[in-house]
Amino acid sequence: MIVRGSIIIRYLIHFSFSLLLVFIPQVFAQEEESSCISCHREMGGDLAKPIELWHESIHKKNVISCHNCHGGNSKVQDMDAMNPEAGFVGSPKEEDVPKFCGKCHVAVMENYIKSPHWQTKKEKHPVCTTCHTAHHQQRATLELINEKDCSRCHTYERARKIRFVMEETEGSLVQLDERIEKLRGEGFNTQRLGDALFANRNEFHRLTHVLSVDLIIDRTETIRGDIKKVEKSVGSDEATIKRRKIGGAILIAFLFISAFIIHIYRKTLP
Amino acid sequence: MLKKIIDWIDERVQIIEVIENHLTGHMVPANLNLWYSMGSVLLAMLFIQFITGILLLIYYVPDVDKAFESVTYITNEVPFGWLIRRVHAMATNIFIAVLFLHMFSTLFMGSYKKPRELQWMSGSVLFGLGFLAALSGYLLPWSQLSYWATTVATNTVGAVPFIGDELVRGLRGAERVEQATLSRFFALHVIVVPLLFLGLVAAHLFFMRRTGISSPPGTMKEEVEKIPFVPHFALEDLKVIYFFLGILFIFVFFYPKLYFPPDALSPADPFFTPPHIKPEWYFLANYEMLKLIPNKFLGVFIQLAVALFLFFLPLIDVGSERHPLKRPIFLTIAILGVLAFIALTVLGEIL
Repeated sequence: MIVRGSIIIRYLIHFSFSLLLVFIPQVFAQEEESSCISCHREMGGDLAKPIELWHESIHKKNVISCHNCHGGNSKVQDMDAMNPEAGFVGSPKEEDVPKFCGKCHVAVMENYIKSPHWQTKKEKHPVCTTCHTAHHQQRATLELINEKDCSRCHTYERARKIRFVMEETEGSLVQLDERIEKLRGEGFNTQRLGDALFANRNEFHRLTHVLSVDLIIDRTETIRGDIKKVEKSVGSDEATIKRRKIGGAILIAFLFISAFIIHIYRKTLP
Repeated sequence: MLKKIIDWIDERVQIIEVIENHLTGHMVPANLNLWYSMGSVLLAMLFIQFITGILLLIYYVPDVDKAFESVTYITNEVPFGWLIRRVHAMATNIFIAVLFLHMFSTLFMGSYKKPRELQWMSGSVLFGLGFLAALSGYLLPWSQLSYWATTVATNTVGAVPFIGDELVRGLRGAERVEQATLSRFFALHVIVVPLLFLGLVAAHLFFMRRTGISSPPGTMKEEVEKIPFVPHFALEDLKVIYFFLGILFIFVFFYPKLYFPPDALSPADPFFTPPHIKPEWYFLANYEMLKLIPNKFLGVFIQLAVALFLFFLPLIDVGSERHPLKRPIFLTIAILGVLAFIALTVLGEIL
């Protein structure tokens, strides 16, 4: 009897653990944080502001964290995190900002330093952060060229022309991006298309920074040709989706109609 | 020609006798309703899972550096790979949903009672096994969703006192989810769980064959008219299977984003936790309960107690009455249980 009891208890324990494996729900995920984020958040006030802004930025979305731009050692939880020997740069001087951002945005920087924005003889240059902000950067669109912002420093006339000649192509880029995202949602491998679009968008957006209407018109033709190639591939994939859905609809109709016919036939059986 | 082949086989193994005994000559109650076809739907879904699983296995590579890539290859390069993968993923959801319906109908109709206790118990283990199959398969694509869902799921076992950390390490095969975890879950998903399924389904069907199909509550066994299983009831089953296949393919062809959210489309990144990660709908009730109960161990313990209560239900509820309206205490508990499950699932989704 005791032996049988112990077998039952052992069985219950084994069964409990098996069920534990089965019924494990998925709970609270903890995000790994760099020391920059945890310390600055704790400090609060103006020192925490960059973290709040960064959380809504395109950099955060693309997993670009503080140390990717500011350097330092983000894994150390003390002041050594900001050691200049580890490449830490807190707030770069204004004239160093293009170089600071240009570590990653190389092509944009190349165009920018050729532009009147950098070449101007005036004491105060507009730098990357003047238009794109320091920590709240959003995905670059033509909305950045607007009368309110441009008029802070000069008249809007030239900027208006630049925006006008870029609008159509920009519209195609935005639309194409949405279409590629839809394809991705359908399970298509959009890596190649996404990379091609990314290259085209970069090529196109970096033109903005030269501030030359003629150059933009000249280069836009070539870029539009490349965009058309991407559009063709996307169109082909979209046609595949359409074909799949038509096939699916036929199969579903067949199944439901078959179920109905079986139901009717069953009624005729004795 | 066909008749000759059949006669040749029959002469040796008496196949016609087997067919008569188990199909055309097997009589079942004529008043069986829709709920009695759920088991057949489950068998059909299980068959689909086996077939699509084997096809996926041809191209899938259980290696952390290649798993996501191989799944992308299946979806984009293998002929009809996208369809096979979608069907495998969506059929899991239909399978779990029908499992719930099958369990609930058996519960409400009191079909777990004597002499069908073993049928209920084997079914309960199959119910748990369905969840284990879903959970172990979840990690295999090695996407952001599968990686983090498995990380938090395996973390939960840490709530067990004293041996929690050891259990977590045992499940993962390492400190965190990595190659050892993928290998374990792969073995579990493609060998252990399918073999257990085959054995338990066989046992479940054997018990059903030995005890016979129960007739709906409120009807006297002796008064119930009988019909042959084939073709009469088999056609009923086929009708319901076609209906559920139709539902399956609606989701497969028109709503793939429901079971492949954006995080399922990015490769696993152990250094970036996606925000708002949530379990699949069938784990939401458990998930929400753990969130609502402050003590993690207590939350796990309550769920375990409920699971054990359900498993041993035929040994606890031994009365012979099967009609739910004549069992008010049972009916109240069952309805409250179902409502609590639905409420927790909805809360888990919206909170």
